[in-house]
This record gives sequence, C-alpha cells and structure tokens, in this order.
Amino acid sequence: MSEKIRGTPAVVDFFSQGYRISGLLQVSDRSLADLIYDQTVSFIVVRKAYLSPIVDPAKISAYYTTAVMTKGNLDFALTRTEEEGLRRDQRYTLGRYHYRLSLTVPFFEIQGTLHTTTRVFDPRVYLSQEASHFITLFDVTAWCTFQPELNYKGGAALIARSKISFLGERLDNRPSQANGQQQS
Amino acid sequence: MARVLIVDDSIDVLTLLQAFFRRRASHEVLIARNGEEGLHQALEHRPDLALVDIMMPGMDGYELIRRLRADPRTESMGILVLTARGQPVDQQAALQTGADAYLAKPVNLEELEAIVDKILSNRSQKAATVLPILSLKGGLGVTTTAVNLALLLQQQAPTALWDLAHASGHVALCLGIAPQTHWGAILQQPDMPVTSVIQEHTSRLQVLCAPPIPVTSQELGESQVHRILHALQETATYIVIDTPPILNAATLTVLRLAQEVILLTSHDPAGIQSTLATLQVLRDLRARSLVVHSRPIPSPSPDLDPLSRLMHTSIRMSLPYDPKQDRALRTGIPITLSAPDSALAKAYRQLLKLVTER
Repeated sequence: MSEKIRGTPAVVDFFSQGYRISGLLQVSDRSLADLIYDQTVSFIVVRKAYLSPIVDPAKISAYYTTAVMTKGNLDFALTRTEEEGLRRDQRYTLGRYHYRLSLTVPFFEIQGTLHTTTRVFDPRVYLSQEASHFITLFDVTAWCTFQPELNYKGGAALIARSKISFLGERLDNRPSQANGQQQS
Repeated sequence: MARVLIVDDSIDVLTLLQAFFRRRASHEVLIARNGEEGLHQALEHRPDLALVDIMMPGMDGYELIRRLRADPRTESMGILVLTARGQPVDQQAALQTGADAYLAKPVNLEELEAIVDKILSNRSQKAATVLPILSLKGGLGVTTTAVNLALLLQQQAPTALWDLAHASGHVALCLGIAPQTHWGAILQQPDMPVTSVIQEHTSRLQVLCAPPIPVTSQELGESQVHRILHALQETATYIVIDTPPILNAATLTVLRLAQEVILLTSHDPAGIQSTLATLQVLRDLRARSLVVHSRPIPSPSPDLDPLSRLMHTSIRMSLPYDPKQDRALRTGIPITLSAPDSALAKAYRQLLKLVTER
C-alpha cells in the first residue's frame, strides 16, 4: 500500500452566486451530506475558507479562518470522493437504479449519476415530491456555463433543489440496474 | 543532493514531507509556514526546488509562484504545487502561473518522489551554476582563481568563463589566448549574437573576454547581463565570472543571480575592512558566499579561526602563495595545467570540491 500524507482534512468546494469557496469541514463523524441534509441547521461552518471567482481559478480573492455557508444560498457543493457525499443512511444502501442526469444551476451545467429506488424515473415527480432541499449526484462533472473549459469534477455533488432551472435524463445513458448490489 | 523548500501552512504536512525528503532522498530541506516566509527563504537560500501549497493565509501559493518567477534569482528554480484544491482547473491555473508540476493532496509519496526527481533532473539540465569570484580589494588573485576554477570545472562539465572587467581584464593573458573578440562588441552592436563573441580555449572552456581597451562610454546594463548569461547557459553547466572590484550595475546583477559568490579575502587591515563591507553588500543582496583566504605574495600563513571570528563568517580555506604561479602567468598556462602537483593547484582542487559539493 502506498503511503499517504495523513492529517490533511477533506476539502470541499462550495459554489454560490459565481464564487467558489474551498474549505475544510468540522464534521467529526458526520459527512458533508449529513450536514447538508440536516434540516434543523440552516448553515455550515467552514474552516480555512478560500474564496475564488469561478471564472478566475488562479485568483484567491479572500481568506477566512472560519466562515459560514448559508444553505439557502448555496448552489451546490462538490466532494472529492463518493463517500463524502453519502448520508449516514446511504452508507450501507444506495438506490439500485442509476440515472445519468444533466441539470443547470446558476453559472453551471452539471452532469452526474442519480442513485434511486424508483424503477421509472420522472423528473417532474422527482423534483416535486422529494422532501429534502438537496439532491445528490455521483461521479459528477460541472462545467462553467460561460467558460466550459473551466470544469470541476467530484465523487459527489450535493445540489440545491431550488437552484435547479433545468433537469433532464441523458437519453444516451439509460438507467442501468446495479444488479441489486448494495453499495457501501 | 538538492535543496528543497516546502511552503505549507499545515504543520503536519511540513513535518511529514521534511522527514520524507531527508530520509528517502537525503535532500537539504527548508520549511516555511506561509507565502511571505517562503519567498524570504527562497531569496535567501536559493533552493533548487520549492513545494508550494496554494491555500495559505496572506500570500497564497499563486502569488508566491508569480513572485518567484518574476525575480531573476529564483526565476529558474523548480516549483511543484501541492494542494488540496484538486480540480482540473487548479492544475491548469498552477501550470499557467508558472509551476513546473502539480500534485493534488493527499499525495502518493512514490509519485511525489518521481515528480521531484524529474523536475530536479530537468532543472540541472537547463540551469547553469553562476559562480562570480570577487574581491573589492585588488591584488588577491581573483582572475587567477577564476581561470583555474573554470578549467577544473571544465574537466567535469561544460563551463564558461566571463571576464567582466571593464578595464584591463587579464583572463585572456592568463589562458594564453589572443582575444579575437570580446563582450564590448555587444555594447556597440546590441543585436550581435552573444555566441559570436565567445572564444574556445584548447581545454574547450568557453571564454568571454574583456574589451582590450577600457570601456568608458557606456556600461553593461542589467538586461544585457541577463542576455549574456542566458546565452552562456545554453551550453555551459557552470559559468565562472571574473568580477571586477567595483559594484556597478553589471557586477550587482551577477552577484544577485549567483548561486554562490566566491569572496577572496586577506588578513591585512585593508583586506579585512573591504571583506566586511563586501559581506554586508552580499547580505543585502541575499547572495550566498563562500569566503576564501588568499595569499598571492609571500607572507606568513595566518590562523583562519580568529580571522573568521573577526569577520563574523566562516573562512573555508586558504589559497597559498606559490612561486610557480609567476611562471604560469608568464607562459599563459594556468597552474592547474602547468603544475598540477603544486600547492596552489592542490588548493584550487580543494576549492573545486567545496564548490561542487555545495
């Protein structure tokens, strides 16, 4: 097994209103998804937050030792690994049906895979009937709308449902059954 | 062995990488906890490679890279970005800002070692080591030292010798070559290729001679010094510079760009005074120095320890008086070639060892 540098906490990228905020999370044993989906708290505390305009990734315009992200204004959050995007209840069972989705939020087009228990996926039903404020896609690429060469990849994206202006299933990638396997 | 600077605000990362580089690669490691400290360390110690984190309070990694690339003293150093910002755009931004390579944290140490080796190897292939020989007090054998050190270096790797004197440079005389051309021609014709004024000694040493007639109308400027050095390092691994005892624009530029300044000193009051003054100048320029005592005329050999204490520096060695040097100068065959077993030639080989080991 190759050696890894330990002690490097997970870095999460938050995207909100044209800005990218990279920072470390105070999560203890909770994942980013646990924090995002927790409807009793309206904000997320970020340590060592670095702010960049999304159109100029080589510019760090501000640094804050501690900052607060309000969930209501968040467009989406991107995690490096799939695990960081899983809620506690999802760690042992994920939906067996996979749909490759494409959606838009302010400044971004996002493509990723939705894991769900629904055999037939209907975007209208999905967007209107689900109670949570966020949806999670896995294996994600987010393209900056005005500069598609600027793209961001992650194991998971947690996307604010209220910020989605378009959502569609990619027909070139019909739902694929995961053979009933449970994912952990 | 290389000198590696690690700039990261995480003490854990600094500790781990420091241990890794010392243990596995035996590199000399410097550490800095933020961009400002990293810049200071880089200018002070001229590392071969800097590992730079991007997300740091104050001066971030991008700004640090921009400043390192903008400064002639650090423009050619290797830079590897190590950052937790692991997006493709971050890699693109790091490379566009001036980094040689990029690695996202957490880092695979085998991969890190391979990239570091590659950067150091590329760098050693393209960047020459600039070694000015200097003494603000005349008569200490600066030219003799420059010529002999250059010849010894040439036996190891392609070397260039530049006689920077504006008036009465003696490198050609010491090497027994008739100067057919000289760097003064570049002052008269600024578009002239530098390669057209380089002569080759029989040892294959590349020599850039001084103007035979003192230059009074104009001086070499900083940009011309840069242009000449860039041209010399196209073929040379080492560039030895016979530096005149005057701190003009050309000399200061050379001292600023030097990996190491070989400062000759003596034990007479005037020599001590000028050495103290020169050391202060070198400190202000953040130039590394290697202080060498020189005894070009017959005199008792001094104890270097009290002299070192007096000068607040370490005098690394002494170049002895050697009567065979007079003959070497008259015949135009430097002492390391004409009398390789002489005391002075042996001392020059000791100097070579000090220079190449550092």
